[in-house]
Amino acid sequence: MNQTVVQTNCFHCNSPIEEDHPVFTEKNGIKREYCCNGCATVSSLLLENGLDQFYQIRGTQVLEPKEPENENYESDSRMDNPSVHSEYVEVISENRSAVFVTIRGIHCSACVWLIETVLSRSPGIQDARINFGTGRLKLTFDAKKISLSKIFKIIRDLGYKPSLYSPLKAESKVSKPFKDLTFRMAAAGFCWGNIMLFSASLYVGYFEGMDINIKNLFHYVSWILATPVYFYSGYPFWKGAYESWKRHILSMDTLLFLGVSLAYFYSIYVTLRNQGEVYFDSVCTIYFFILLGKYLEAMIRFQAGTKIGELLSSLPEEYEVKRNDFWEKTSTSSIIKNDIVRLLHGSRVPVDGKLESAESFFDESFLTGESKPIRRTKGEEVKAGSICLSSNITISSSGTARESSLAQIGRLLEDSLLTKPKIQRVTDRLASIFIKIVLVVAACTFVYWWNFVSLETAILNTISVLIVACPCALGLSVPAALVVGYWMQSKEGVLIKNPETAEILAKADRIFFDKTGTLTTGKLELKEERFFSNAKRQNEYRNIAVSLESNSSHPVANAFVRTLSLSDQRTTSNHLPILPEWVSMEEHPGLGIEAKDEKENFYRIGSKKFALASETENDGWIYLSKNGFPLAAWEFGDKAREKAKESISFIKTLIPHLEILSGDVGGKVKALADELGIDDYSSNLSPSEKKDRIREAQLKGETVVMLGDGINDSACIAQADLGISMGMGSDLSLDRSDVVLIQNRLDSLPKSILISKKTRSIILQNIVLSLIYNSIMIPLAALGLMLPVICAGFMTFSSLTVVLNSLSMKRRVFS
Amino acid sequence: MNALYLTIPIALSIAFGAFYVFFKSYRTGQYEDIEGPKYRMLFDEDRPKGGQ
Repeated sequence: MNQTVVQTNCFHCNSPIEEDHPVFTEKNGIKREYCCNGCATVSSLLLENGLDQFYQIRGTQVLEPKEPENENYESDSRMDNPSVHSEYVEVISENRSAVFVTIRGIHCSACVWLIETVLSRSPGIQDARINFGTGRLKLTFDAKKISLSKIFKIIRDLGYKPSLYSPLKAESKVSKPFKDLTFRMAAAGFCWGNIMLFSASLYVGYFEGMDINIKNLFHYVSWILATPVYFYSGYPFWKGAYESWKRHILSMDTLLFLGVSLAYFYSIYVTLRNQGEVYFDSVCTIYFFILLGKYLEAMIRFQAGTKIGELLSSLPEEYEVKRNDFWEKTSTSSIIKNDIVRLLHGSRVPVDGKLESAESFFDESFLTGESKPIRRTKGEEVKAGSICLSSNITISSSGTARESSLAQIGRLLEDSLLTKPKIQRVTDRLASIFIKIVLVVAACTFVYWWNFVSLETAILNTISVLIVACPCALGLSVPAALVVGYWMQSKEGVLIKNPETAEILAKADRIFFDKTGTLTTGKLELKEERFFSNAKRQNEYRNIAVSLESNSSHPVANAFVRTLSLSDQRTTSNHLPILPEWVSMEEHPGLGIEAKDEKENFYRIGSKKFALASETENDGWIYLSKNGFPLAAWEFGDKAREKAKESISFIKTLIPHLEILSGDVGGKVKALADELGIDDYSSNLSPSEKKDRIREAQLKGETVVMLGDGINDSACIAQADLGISMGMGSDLSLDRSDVVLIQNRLDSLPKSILISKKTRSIILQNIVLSLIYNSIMIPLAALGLMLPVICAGFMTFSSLTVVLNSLSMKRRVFS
Repeated sequence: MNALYLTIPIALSIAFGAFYVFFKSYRTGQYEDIEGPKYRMLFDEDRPKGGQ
């Protein structure tokens, strides 16, 4: 076994191989080394199928190694159920069906190529195409030759995580208005581009003279081009104006609509009379720029919306329901009131209902943020979205899935995407005051000029007032800055889910950090091992510990099983220690695990207080005890994230107070706080104590931001004014947080704060700029000193100022 | 200058035609994946389908 191995990185994923546990394959005399069995499986699958081209396409890119799966494969068989089929699979013809699958874990073009190629070579699959942008696979297949579960298994075997996706379901609220807006914006842009050609000639003609027939022709052409913009692109504005008129308020839409309508109809009048100047180009310019701003804003929200939709769609879709004394598999949507539903260990409760089994534990952190399992007894209420922690329980539903608390959360999320940010509402109020002033000024102008000069001059000057007052710049001030802000955030790997985020982040007083997984990498490593009795039985103790911990999903338990099982492989001894047979085993959440063997010996593994029943403080070690006597102890630790120190000192310059909230023991927290330069820290906190700590700060009037990662942080993330989660955190906390650091890097946070602060100040600048511009121009127009054509020019100029000011943010943030 | 009476309508109908084509292609989803084609081009296999 002493052959030299050429490569030091995994042949498949290119990540470095840990020395202790290499995996070899040998074929045709070529020896390949892998970091884990998962990679080895995928790689041999590729090589056997002649798909080694993958490694050329991959280049030097490092892939994420295939994780050992702990998901339940059994659930794939649910896919073949007719009810799931009918919901997701579109039958095109007798032997041709189509389905959409969202695939998680795609890193690069090589992944796409791999999945597509392997799938399209499988019998029964006609076509497989992945959308690079969304990571969504469109598959056409012959349902008679290959089943959905088989397809899922192929994708899983390659190391990716598939879940069914229904385009009809996701493209509901957000997507339709978005497409609509795109068309309106495109139409306005198209007509604007064309009309400016004729307008430019008309401008020149105005100053240098122009043949009257040509001028008329250009007027008619402009009319043709402006009409679709006025009616089709402008539809949202006249609808908005009508609605606010109905509710007796004056909004931005009212002013826009009035100004544009006046310009449009006056221009028609001019065209028909063959005398004067037309303002059809203003109609197009105003609508195009405002729609463009709205479009960019909607695009960001749409992307955030699909992301949330994907998270929600990863929930299970099928359950066993009792129908006519048989257990029948059915989809969530067909569960009705009073159905008896059977749940397996670890599955999510699909509907609100009452527990029928004697008792069970539930993880309700998705709803309440409380991560400790909640015990429910027969007849008690069970909430949709909570996770069932005991196996094979039954509940009787009290309504459909659509009426459940989970569906309500989904709707809340959607609503939050459709609400206007607070600062936008402020500008709307500002606009309504502004409009009143403008209307009064316009009326006065009209009356004055009509009385003292002529009707024609009166109309002309009134139009000047309305056009110059067009709150285009004001209307663009917020969206333009927000869009640039969002765009820069997403470049830094920050996903903003809520438009009000920038405001809160900009004025935050205090940031709370979770420790494990947020400031540290969260990858626990064995630091030290201690044995209290017979040193020769070390392996036996290790194995007992592993066999106990393997029943828990706690992160420490996972690290335990991972590292200690490995150290087993290293031992040279041939005989395997005999493990006790467990008669009973119970996990005490937050403390440890207790088990009894055949000889009535009690084994406990966990914190010092729990395992040794000692009165002394927990010291962070994990103890294994037999009948209360210590056998062994292990210490685990993790290290600070990359660039954590720099990021923290950067954040310190932006936000005055930083504090670590940790459930870990004091010594470890202090060490990290000292290392990173954070002055305040609290240790030994339970999730609810963390939450209280945040509420305390809020009661003092502070704006609080919480940065966390795990399920146990979701309560804090929800409690804080702004919740931020690391991208690799659990799906649960992702749902509850307002901001997600997608790239899982701490250094994107200070940049995000900086961008938020800048966004806020640019919004204020924009509002001030546009108001100053208007307050200078309106009096000039009212006095008849401005020609409408110059007004239109200035109006465009003011909008451009606002847009350019927003675009300058990029340079200003990183200068 | 009379040519303008002919050329402007022609120019406009070409422009509207192009816009109509854009609308059509947008609706049929040609802009949904704008990343893919540039990579797909490189995927084309040298070897005939069905393995070695």
